[in-house]
Parts: sequence; structure tokens; C-alpha cells
Amino acid sequence: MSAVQKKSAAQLQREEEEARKKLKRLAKQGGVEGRLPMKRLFRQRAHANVLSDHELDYPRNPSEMDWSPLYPDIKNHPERKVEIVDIGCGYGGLTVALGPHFPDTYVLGMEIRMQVTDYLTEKIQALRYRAENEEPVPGGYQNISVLRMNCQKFLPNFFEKGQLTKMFFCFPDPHFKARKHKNRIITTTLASEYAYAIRPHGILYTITDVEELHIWMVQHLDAHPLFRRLTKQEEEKDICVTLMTHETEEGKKVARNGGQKFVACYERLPNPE
Amino acid sequence: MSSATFRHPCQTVLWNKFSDSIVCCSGPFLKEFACSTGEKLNEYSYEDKLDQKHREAAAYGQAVRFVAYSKDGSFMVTVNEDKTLCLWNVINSKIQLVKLIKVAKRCSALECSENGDIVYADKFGDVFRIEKNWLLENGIHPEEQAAAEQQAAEAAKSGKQKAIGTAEHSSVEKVNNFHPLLGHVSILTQLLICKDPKNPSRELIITSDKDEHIRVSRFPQSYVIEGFCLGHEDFVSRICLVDNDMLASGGGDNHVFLWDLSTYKCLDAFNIKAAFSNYLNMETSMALNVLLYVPPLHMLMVASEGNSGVVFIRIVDGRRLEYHSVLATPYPVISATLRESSNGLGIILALDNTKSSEQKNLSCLQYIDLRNFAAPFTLSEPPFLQAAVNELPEVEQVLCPLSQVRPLRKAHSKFFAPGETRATVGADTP
Repeated sequence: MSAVQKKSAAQLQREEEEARKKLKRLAKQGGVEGRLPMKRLFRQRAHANVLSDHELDYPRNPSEMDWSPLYPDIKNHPERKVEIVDIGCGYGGLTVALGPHFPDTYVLGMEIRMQVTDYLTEKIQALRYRAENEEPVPGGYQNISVLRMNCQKFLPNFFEKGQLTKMFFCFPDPHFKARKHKNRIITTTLASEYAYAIRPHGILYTITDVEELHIWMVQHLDAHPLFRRLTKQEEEKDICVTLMTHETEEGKKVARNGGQKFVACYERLPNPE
Repeated sequence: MSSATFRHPCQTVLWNKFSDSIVCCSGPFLKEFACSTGEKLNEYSYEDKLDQKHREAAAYGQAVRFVAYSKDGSFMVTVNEDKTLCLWNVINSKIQLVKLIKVAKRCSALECSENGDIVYADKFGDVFRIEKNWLLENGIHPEEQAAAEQQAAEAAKSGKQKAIGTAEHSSVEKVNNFHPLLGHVSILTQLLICKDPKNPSRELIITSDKDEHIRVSRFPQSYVIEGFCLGHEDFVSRICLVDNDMLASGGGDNHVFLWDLSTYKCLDAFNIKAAFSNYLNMETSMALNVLLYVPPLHMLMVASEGNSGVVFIRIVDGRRLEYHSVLATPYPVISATLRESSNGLGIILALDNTKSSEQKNLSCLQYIDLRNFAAPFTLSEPPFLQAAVNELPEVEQVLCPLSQVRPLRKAHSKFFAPGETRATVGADTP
């Protein structure tokens, strides 16, 4: 009995989703000829349960991943791979900012909320159109893309051992309740998976406005034998630290509200023998 | 409900190589029988101190889910449904409960490492390692536990709301403060510890989960992930080592995979669904609950939850999977264990005799003798299994869940058979 009810609820949700998409298409606010999409049409609650089974599309392993829908120019650069990943990219402020700084690398934003990825997909389309027809940008935003994904579960399905050079965790969900601490995106156990994906001497970046979460992330990454925290001087020299402090949507919001930002960056050390 | 009684099936069977005996976990009962004589070596069950109202719940909680022996056979570890991890001393093949501890989450796998540590995985995806000495110091003595329970029961009777003994609470907290060896953000289904074929001085820990992953990490330096074996399209429920340098795996999709443990590349995949439907006429979806490797024959035996039959797959040229034979069983297979001693080579099957509509007067323990490789395999009931079955408890209803694997399937999986949904394959709780 409950199964029947559940199914109909899921159906209702799907119908609602369809209706919303139709409305959005009609509104034609974004994605077409360089017009930026309107954020208010893509609002979604700030949290998603990472432990539940979302209907996600992911390859069985990295070699089966077809990147061409995400990076249309990949046929010109068959050897190029995604090397920079923005985990929980949200509305994509950082992903977009990274594009012109690393024009020879593919940058990928990953986000679990569907509405938000829809928004960013359209925004990237608009930016690409603008870069081509109005003002040229290094890389032309052809090198950035976004994917709806649960990174805590499916990272190894996309990236081979040591494929990434940079990994960003910007303003992640703080999960204040002790019961939910396991859902936090930085834990010592998950750090092992990140260490697998990042090549030696690659960098893992974290930033948050929640001090408690900052302490947690530092504690867990400090405890991990494969990560070494960068010094303040090293952080200051890194352009990415400036970008993630000032270009992320959350970073701007925190600055507007006069909040504090806590940064911690880690170098991936080589495996011990 | 009919009041017909039946022998309670064994949710777990394990062959004990140290005394050539078989450990049968039948609901809350743990019994051990010598394979040569059928003599009962050990018997243990929860003390029936509770009143009738709580009996079923107690039986459910005390159901033994996993059994593991230390590498030298000097001790045994078990885990119950109610998250109790028990340490037993084994002296002259007699077992004695030494210490028990409550772990924080329900267990999904249990192993003993080479140096005698206990390694277990829980349903939250974390893997923990407990040293035996730590357990001896921090565990609770069974008598203390009994006293605490009695106290709690008395307190409950006299209306005081102090339910659980303090000793139990503190042990959960102690385990909670443990750092996991490694963790998946998913339900962990099995773990294995083995030698690294690339570097024999090193050990590996292999873990499989509900989200199609098989992860290979160093042991105990498990923060270094060596690789992933990725290729499954639904949950991975069973993994097993093949000749120390290969790994076989199976789960909720249609294939059994063979992996190279040096490169983590897939060597071969065998369509197990086709074997079940072609040779046994079973059109259900696959949910592997038994995957055994028989080293002398270079052969895998596979069973799928709810299906009354097993499939044998040969490994040829050291890297290809080839169909060998099938064997129909009277009831669905729940658990199986390989007996590989100087006195015999065979597989002991635990069958689920509870759901059959017709009375088949066959017992829930069967033996497949593998000594005569040339002839087709058949089921038999050697005297030691007959003795074991006669000792199993007679009950009117099942005391613990027998279905462990099918509920792992996701609601939107493409591997559901026609007419099957997540609701229809849910766990059969008593």
C-alpha cells in the first residue's frame, strides 16, 4: 500500500518538474544568444541528502565516460582531461572564474542539486555565446562545464588515479547536527578518495564561513597522512585562493554580510613506499 | 498461520578448518558439528531469562550473522543482529564466550587479519579494526552483561525508566571514538584482507559496496587507495579471492566479473542471469548471496538469493570464465561454505525451507561432494549433516531475517525482473 502511495508521490514530483521546465522554456530567459538565465527561476533548498539514492547518470568507470557533450571542443584536444574540479559548485561563480585562468585545462563543476546545475548549464551556454560573438575570453568558456553528481559516492567513476591537479571545496554544507557529521564532505575516510583522484603535489582547497566546520576540516585533513597544509605564504601566492575567496557566490554573500572566511589548502603528498 | 513446525534454517554456515567441523548459525543458536563423526562439539544459545513478550525480540537480536576465526584458530568472533560483537576462546575445539562489546552500527562484514586483529564493516560504510587485547580489556564479561540485563529488566518492572545497563553504554561510546580504517558513503557489503600480488610484503583490504564499487586499499595503511574495480551496474554483494592474484565479484546485475588484482582491470565477465534462465528456468533478477571459489578445481560456485539452484563456473587459462554446470536445489540457497580437508572436498549448502508451499521432505542442509570431478555434481545428506539437522531448533516461524541481499537494490534499478519492485523484495522481518 505504502509503495503505491510513494510511487504516485514520485510521479507527482516528476510532473511538477516537467511543468516547471516547460514554464522555464517558455520564459526563455537564459541560454539563448548570450542572455544570462535568471537565478530566481532556479532556486532550490540549500541541502540535499547525500546518502539517499538519487537518480543519477554516471559511467561504470572513467574510460566509459563520454565528455563530448560537456566539452564540445574535446575533438580538437583528444588528450585533454578534466584536471580541476569544483565540488559543490553551486551557481558556479568559481567554476566560471577559473575558466579563463586555466584555458588549456578542463574545469568541471559538480553539484548535486538539479535546479542549480540546470541554471549553470544555461549560464555556461550564454557565456560561450558571448565569448564567441561579443568579447573573446581565453578558452572561450569552452573549457568549463557542470555535471549533476554526488561526489561523495561516485568520484572514482569519473576520474582515474591521479588525474586531478586541483580540487575545490567552497562553502560546503556545514551539517551542524552531530548525527549528520558523517555527511560532511571532508572526512578522513573521504579524504582518501580525494587523495586517490589528486596527483602528487596537487592541491585541495577548502573555504568556509563556519568556523566550526573549518576546525573540523583542518582536523580531518591534518590527520590524513597524504595531505600537508600549505603555509600562509604559499596560500597568498596562489591565485586560486584569491579566486575562491572573492569569486564564489557564497564568498560574495559572506562579504556583503561582513562575515569571516576561513581558508585551508592542502598539498597531496606522494604515497609512502 | 499454520502451526506446523519446521527445522529453523541456518542463516550462516561456516566450515572450521581447524577441527574439520561445521558451524551452523540457526536463529539465535550457534552449534558446531564434527564433519567426520557428526558429533556435536559446541552449542550456544541466548539464556531464556526474558518473559514471553520479549522472547521474539531477543531471539531476533541474538541471531548470529557473521562468524570468523582467527588465522591460528585460537579464537572466534561472532556478530549478532543486535550489534553485539562476541569474542570466544577456542580450546580443544570447545568454545567459550570471553568478552562481548556493543558496536555502534549494524555490521555487514567480519574478518580476522593475519596478525589477529578483528576487522569489521558496518552498514554506514565504515571499516573498523579492533585489537584482540583491546577487546579483552574493554569488553564486557558475559556475566556482567547478564547481570546488567537482569537489573534493567527489574528496573523496568518496578517502573523506573532506566532501561539499559551503564556498562553497555560506555562500550558503545568507546567504539564510537574509534577512527575508522576506511569508509564508503554507502552500505558496505563485504571485506577481504589478502596479500598484495604486486608486493608480497604488503597486505590489501578489499571492500565492496551497494553503489557498484570495489575498492582496493593498503592494509592497515588504508588511507592509500591502490585502485578500484569498476564495472558492475548494480550493487556488489559478494567478492572472493581467486588464486591470490585475481578477484571474483557479483551482485545485483547480470554478470560475475573476474579482476586482475595487479592492474584492477576486468579479465572476464560471465552472464550468470543467462545461466540461471537457460539451465534452471529461473527468470528472477539476480542477487548474489553466495560466491565461493574451489581452488583444487579452479571453479566458482554462485547462488542467487531466492533461487533454488547453484551455477558452477570454471576458470580456464587462468583468466576466462566458462560455464561448467548447474545443480537444482530443493529450496533457495541462503549460505554456503567450502569444506576442503584431507577427508573430503565439498560444499555445504544452507537452504531456506520456510517458503516452500509443498512439503518436500528434504532437510535444509545439503552437501555437494566435489571429489568426483568427472561426474555431474549431486546433492547428498551425509550422516554429519543429518545429525546437524536433527539438532536444529524446531520452530513455527522464522526467528531472524534471511533475506540480506535483495533489499540492496535501488528503487530505480533497471535490473528488477518484470513485476518485481523494491517493496516486493523487501526484507522478510519476522
